[in-house]
Amino acid sequence: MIRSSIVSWVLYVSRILLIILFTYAAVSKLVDFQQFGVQLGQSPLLTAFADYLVLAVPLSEIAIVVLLLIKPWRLFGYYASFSILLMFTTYIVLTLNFSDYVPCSCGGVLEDLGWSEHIIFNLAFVLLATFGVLYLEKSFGNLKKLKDGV
Amino acid sequence: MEFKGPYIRLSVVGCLSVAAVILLFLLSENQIHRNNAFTRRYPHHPTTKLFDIPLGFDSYYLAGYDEPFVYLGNTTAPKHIVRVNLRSKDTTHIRVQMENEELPYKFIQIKVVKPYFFVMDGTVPIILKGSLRNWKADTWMKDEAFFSSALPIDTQTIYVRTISSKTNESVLGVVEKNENFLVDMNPNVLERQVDGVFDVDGIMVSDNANQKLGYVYYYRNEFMIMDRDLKLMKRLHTVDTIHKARLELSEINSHGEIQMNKPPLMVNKWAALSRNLLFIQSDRLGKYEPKEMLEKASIVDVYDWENETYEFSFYLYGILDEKPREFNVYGDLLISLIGSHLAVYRLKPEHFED
Repeated sequence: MIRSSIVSWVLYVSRILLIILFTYAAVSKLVDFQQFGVQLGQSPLLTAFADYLVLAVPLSEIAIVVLLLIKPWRLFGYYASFSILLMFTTYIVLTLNFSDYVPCSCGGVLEDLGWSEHIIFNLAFVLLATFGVLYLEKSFGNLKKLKDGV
Repeated sequence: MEFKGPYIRLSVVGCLSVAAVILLFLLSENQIHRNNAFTRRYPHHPTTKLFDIPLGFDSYYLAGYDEPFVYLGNTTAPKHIVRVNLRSKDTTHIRVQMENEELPYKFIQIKVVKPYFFVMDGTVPIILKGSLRNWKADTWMKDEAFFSSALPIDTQTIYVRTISSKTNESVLGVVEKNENFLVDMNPNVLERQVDGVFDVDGIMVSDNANQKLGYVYYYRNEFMIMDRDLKLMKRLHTVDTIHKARLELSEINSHGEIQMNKPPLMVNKWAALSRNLLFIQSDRLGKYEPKEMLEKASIVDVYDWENETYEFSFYLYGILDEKPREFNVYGDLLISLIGSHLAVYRLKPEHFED
């Protein structure tokens, strides 16, 4: 019982952290929307798609927050968090290795992070999301088993 | 107990996410380098400013470079040359002596091709040549052909632009002197869009060390690279989207002149050719570029003409509210005239070498 309460506490904290992260990310982009557009346009990798990404990225982040907030959609929220964090990590790795130059950095508090710290930071959140996915999948699985009467 | 499903789902989602970003990256690289999606890329500080030297006047133009000297001509004092030693930062003032001094000169341009210098005025027309040792210029070519612009490419050859007597349109040519003069025109390089004179106006550039010539149109997103016999090697487009010159020309007035009705849309302002790279200064803003930058800096776009790619762009900052007027690239140095200053930059090899 104690063990499962710790697990659910960790799950709760991870969910709160992910929600804070994505809310912060989306809001800081939307508040300085023009600046974000400029940064994306000059980013060495995705320049050609900056037009679409400038809206798609903050909107996806808001969508993920909504998914994580609403209980029946929570599992999808974790999957989406996992996916977008991996995308961002891939982006950083590509930037560091295959780009002609490394751009400034992203905005806000993360500005102080170096690129490799950024990767570690991201991977920590990927782990949180993975944990959420596995835990929820498992409890869904148990629920299903209960329903099926196994 | 079976608990494989979530792991498989996670792996699939993970792989798809990574693949999506890689795909976007590859597509984006392709578009930026090959197509004219007018979006510039700014790496961080591809150039380092070494120093600037005050010249006192803003009427200087670049006449040539012979390490460690930069030669500057002066449009308001046409026979006056300033030699700047980039190592000691000393400046020497030189007065050029010319044969045929009484001729009606209107627009003298002096260019240095070591160990000689050329004094050229296409309105006379005349070209004089002299040695850098004594700065005495003797007539080299006179009344052979009028020209609107000229650029010496070696001690015997001058790259010119003139008006064809057949078509009355601008044409590029090479004037060579061996035993006789050889004036060789190539009417196929410049392509008429409006009148064949105004619309094809542009910047003549040369890389004398590698014997390559270039021409960059002012009013459209196009440039050409030629070999020293003016054989067209490449005809390429810049990142800009203006492919047709936007000019409005008046009817011929009572003086027989044609004028521009509106200030034309200038796509390319200045250019320099060095090895496989063509540097083009443009005041046109691409996507996501802050407008305020144009008040204090000029944008220089770098193209690799051999590989037919746009490489990247950088800002050339002004000095005291003055923006760069002209520049040229010699080896790893970029030398620019900004207001009444001469500014010297080093091109970082990691950005400028192939």
